[in-house]
Amino acid sequence: MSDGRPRAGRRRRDPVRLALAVHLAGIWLFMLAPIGFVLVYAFSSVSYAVFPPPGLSLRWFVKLFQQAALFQAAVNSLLVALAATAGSLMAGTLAALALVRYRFWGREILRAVFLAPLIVPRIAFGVAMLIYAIVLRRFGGLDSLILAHLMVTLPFAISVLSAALVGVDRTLEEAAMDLGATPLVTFWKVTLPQIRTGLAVSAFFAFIISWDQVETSLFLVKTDNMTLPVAMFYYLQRQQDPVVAALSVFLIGLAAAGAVVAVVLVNPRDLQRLLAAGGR
Amino acid sequence: MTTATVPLRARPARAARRRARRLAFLPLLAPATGAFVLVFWVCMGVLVVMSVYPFLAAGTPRLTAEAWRRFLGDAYYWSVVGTTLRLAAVVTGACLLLGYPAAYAIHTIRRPGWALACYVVLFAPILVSVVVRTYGWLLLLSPTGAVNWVLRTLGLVREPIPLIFNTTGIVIAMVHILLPFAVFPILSVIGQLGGELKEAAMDLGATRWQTFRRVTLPLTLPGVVAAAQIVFTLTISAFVTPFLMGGGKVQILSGLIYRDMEAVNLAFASVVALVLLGLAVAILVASNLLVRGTYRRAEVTV
Repeated sequence: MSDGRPRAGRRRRDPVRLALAVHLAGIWLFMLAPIGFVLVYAFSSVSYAVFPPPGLSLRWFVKLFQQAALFQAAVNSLLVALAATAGSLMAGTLAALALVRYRFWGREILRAVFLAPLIVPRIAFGVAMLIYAIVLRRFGGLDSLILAHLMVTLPFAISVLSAALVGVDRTLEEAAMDLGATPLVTFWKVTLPQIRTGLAVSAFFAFIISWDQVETSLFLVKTDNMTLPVAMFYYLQRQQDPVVAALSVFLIGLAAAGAVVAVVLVNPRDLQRLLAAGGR
Repeated sequence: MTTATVPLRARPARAARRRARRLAFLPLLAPATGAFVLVFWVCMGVLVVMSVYPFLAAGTPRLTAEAWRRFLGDAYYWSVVGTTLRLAAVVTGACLLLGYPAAYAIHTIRRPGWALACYVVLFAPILVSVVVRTYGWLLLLSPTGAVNWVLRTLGLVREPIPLIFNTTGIVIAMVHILLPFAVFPILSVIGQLGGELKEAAMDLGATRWQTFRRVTLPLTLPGVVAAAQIVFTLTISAFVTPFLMGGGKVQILSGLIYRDMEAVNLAFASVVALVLLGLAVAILVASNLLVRGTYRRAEVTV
C-alpha cells in the first residue's frame, strides 16, 4: 500500500495532508450529522425540530408502538426484500455464469438488456409497473411488488457477481472435473465458495435496495398493504413528529449491526472492488 | 475454448462433455432473461403505449398525442426540465468537489483501521433509509434547527436563514445521499494508480500541484466521469428527498410524475416518465462519447 507515495507525505506538518485530514473530518461530520440528529430527536419532548430540544421524553416510542400499520408495513418490507434478494441471487448467479463463461452471439446485447434497469429512473419504472399491474389485474399484491423490486436488484446482483466470477480460479474447477466431480458438484464445492464475497455483497445490496425502495413501490402499494419506507414517507408528508425518529432508532440499530457484520465478514479489498462494480 | 487448446490425447468423454457444455448457457440465462423481458421490457413498452393510447376511466382507449402535445407545448414543463437539470448539475458539481479530495484523502491513509472507518462512515448511511436521512436534514436545517442555532449563536446571522422547503435544502440533502456514489468510483480509480508516474514527475522537477494537475487528475478522470454520471442520473430521477426537502416549492420532473399519478392522469405521467428516461439516456450517451473521445479503452471498473 505504501509504495509510490510521495516521500513528502511523511512529514508531520505537511499542509496538503493537513488540509485533506480536515476535509475528511468535515465529511465525517456531514455524513453522520443527520443520522445523529434523528437519534437525538427520537427522545425529544416536543414534536417539532427545535434545537436544543427543551426536554427528554419517551412518548414518541409510546406513540410508535400504537401504530400497528407501521409494524405490518415492516413485515411486508421484510418479506419483499427477502424474496427479491433470493430471486436476484439465484437468477443473478446463473446469468453472470453465462455472461462470464460463455462466448455467444448477442452476449453484449443481452448484458445491456440486463443492466438497462439501472439507468431507467425508478419512479418512471414505478409508473410503468403500476399500469402493467392494473392491466394484469395484480395491483396491490406483494407479488407485483416483489417482481418490481427484482427488476431493480437483479442488475446489481448480475454486475457484482460477474465481477466476482471473473476472479474465480478456473484450474481448480478443471481439477475437480478431472477428478470426476459432476459440473453441479464442481459448481457447489469449488465455484460457489470462491464467489462468497460476491454473493454476500449482492445479497446485501439487493436487500438494502429493496428494503429502502420508495420510488418503485410508491404507486404499487395500497393503503392496507404498505412497505415501511413508503409508510414513513406518507407519515412525514402528513406530520413531521418524531414518531419517524423513534422508528429510526430501531432501523439505525439494525443498520449498524449489519455494518458490523459486513466489516467482520468481508475482506475490505474485495469489498472495495465489488462496491465499485455495484456502485450503480 | 477453441479445439486447438484441447490436448491431442484428451479422452473422448471429456471432449463430449465440452460439446454438451457449449450450449449450457441457455438454461443459465433463462430465469433472468425471462424476468427482464416479461416484466421490465414489457413495462417500458407499456409506458410508450400509455403515453399515446391511454385508457381513461371513462370510455375506450384511443390513439392520441394529446399528453405529448400538452407537455411539449407548455413553457412551464420546459422550465421544470430546466430546474431538474440545473439541480442535478449543482448536486453533481458539489459531490465531485467534496468527493474527490475525500477519496484522495482516504487513499493516502496508511493505517488500515482508519481507512476502514472512513469506508464505514461513507457507506453506513446508505443502510439508513433515504426517508430517515431526509428527515434528519429537515430537523437539522429547519429555522429552529441546529444549523440555524449555530449560525445565530456565532452571531453570523440575526434571523434564521431558510434552509428547507427550497433548493438549498434539496441540494444539501441530495449531496449527502449521493456522496458515497461519487467517492467509490473515484477511489477505485485512484487505487489502481501506480505511484511510478507520480514519482517520475516529481523527480523531473514538477511541483506537487503540477504533478496532480498533469498526472494524477487526468489518470483519474475516468473515475470522475463515472461518478458524475452516477450522481447526475440518480439526481434527476430522485423523488423522496426533493419532494420532502422542497416542501412543494421546487417542482422537478419526478414531482410532476407523482402529482399526475395522484390525479390518476396516467397518460401524462407516462409522458413525463419517458422524458425523464430520455434525459437519463441522453446524458449517459453524451458523456460516454465524450469519454471515449478522450480515453480510448480507459480502464474503468464501473
